[in-house]
Amino acid sequence: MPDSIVIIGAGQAGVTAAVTLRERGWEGEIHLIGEESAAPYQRPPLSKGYLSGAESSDDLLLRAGHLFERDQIQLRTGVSVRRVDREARTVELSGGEVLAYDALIFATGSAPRALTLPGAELDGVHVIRTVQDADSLRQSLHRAGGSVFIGGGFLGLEVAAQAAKLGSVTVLELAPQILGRVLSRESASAISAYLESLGINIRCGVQLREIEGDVGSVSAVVLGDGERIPASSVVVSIGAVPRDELASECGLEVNGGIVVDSGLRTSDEMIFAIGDCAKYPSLFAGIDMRVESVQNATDQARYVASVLTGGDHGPRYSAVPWFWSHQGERKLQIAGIALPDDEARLVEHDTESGKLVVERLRGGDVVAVETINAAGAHMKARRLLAEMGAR
Amino acid sequence: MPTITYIHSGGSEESIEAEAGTSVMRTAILNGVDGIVGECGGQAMCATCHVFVRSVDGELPEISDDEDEMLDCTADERQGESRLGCQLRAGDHFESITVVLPERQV
Repeated sequence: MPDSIVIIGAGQAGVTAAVTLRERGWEGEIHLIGEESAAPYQRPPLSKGYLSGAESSDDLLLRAGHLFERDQIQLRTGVSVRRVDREARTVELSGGEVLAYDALIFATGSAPRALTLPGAELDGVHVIRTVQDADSLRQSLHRAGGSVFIGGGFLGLEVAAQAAKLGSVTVLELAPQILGRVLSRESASAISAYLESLGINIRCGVQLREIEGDVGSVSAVVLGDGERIPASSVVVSIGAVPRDELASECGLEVNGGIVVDSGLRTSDEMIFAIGDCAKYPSLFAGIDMRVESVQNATDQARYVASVLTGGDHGPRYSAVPWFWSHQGERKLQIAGIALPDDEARLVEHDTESGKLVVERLRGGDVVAVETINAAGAHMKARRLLAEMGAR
Repeated sequence: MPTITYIHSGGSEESIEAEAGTSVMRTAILNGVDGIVGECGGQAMCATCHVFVRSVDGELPEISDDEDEMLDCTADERQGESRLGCQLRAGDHFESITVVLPERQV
């Protein structure tokens, strides 16, 4: 059994891996390396309760700081990894320190996809990833003037629903529909109608020309046809890219994420990748993919912790994917994974309460269930898919 | 201050003074009480903060539809006194509470 495990990344995946290793009786060293200076925290509230002010930064903490000490997890924050030497089995930290590993776990996460548009660097243009991002966005949204959201995905729309309480909000989406990549048309339309009922102006199929500024601060977003939408804040949320640079530099296979097998192992036997950064053969999607969700991060972390401690984890990672998003007062949940071409079957839709259940099918089998305000149907779907996965 | 007593599945106990407004789930996480996961951060979306309420000084909120559905899907089977720890807040719902933790949350 290896003596020292190094985990790169102290987000939900990295922390869960470290904690689970200890819980499962791992007695060797555990080094957990976080690039951000803040103590490890949860990101989902950044676009929800933390942004609104309902939750404090203490509420974000994944666990109290003294617990890392208690569990003898060597947590380093504000430290990045400069390089990984696979021959020597060492990682070199930004301060120059070198750590030896027997097993290495990449839990490096993902970063906001950058917008390549003139004016993207102006003050008042925001992304949402870190607690600092959320702090500066909160201040910005409280300033007078409207906000424009570039990208109609889950994250941006969660924030847009909150911003609508503070001022005028426009969502700009290049595709013909918001949430088109991730939801059935039925569910996406329901969310779209709800957000419009909050006063949000959703514009799909638009082109962007530039973000206009006034003395260094954003003043408007200009569309392809020259139309100008005034804004004092612009929120860019156009997806995320995997943090796979370091893995690539040390010669591991990367291809839109760190490539791992069905047991979450990279092309190096003693190196694993988990969470947002890992591209793995998904049992449920039937393709190689990355999944960005808390569930994916924590279940993969537990799987690898089990592999490293000789648990009964099964030959392949097969946890049922599930996901949630708060769109204003509506609770959206997805069990399973659907691909854009998978069929959709509307099972239930009550426009008044917002309750919606949509099944997604591939070759006649239900592969995912999308629900809004229907926790029971969601949980039922998770159980059903778990039985499928076990087959 | 309100008090929460956690009884682990093995029988050991710990009592913790909880900040008013903080849930049974959150108090466990901040104080390193093992046996509560709270993966969704308290949104009643994950059923990993399952507890069995043994005794309570106070009035717990009714089980909402969402919580009810989640409790049907806990890793350790639901019992009559099952609740989600994220829905029980110190001060708001109890002055003291004793909860038994299940063997498994995931």
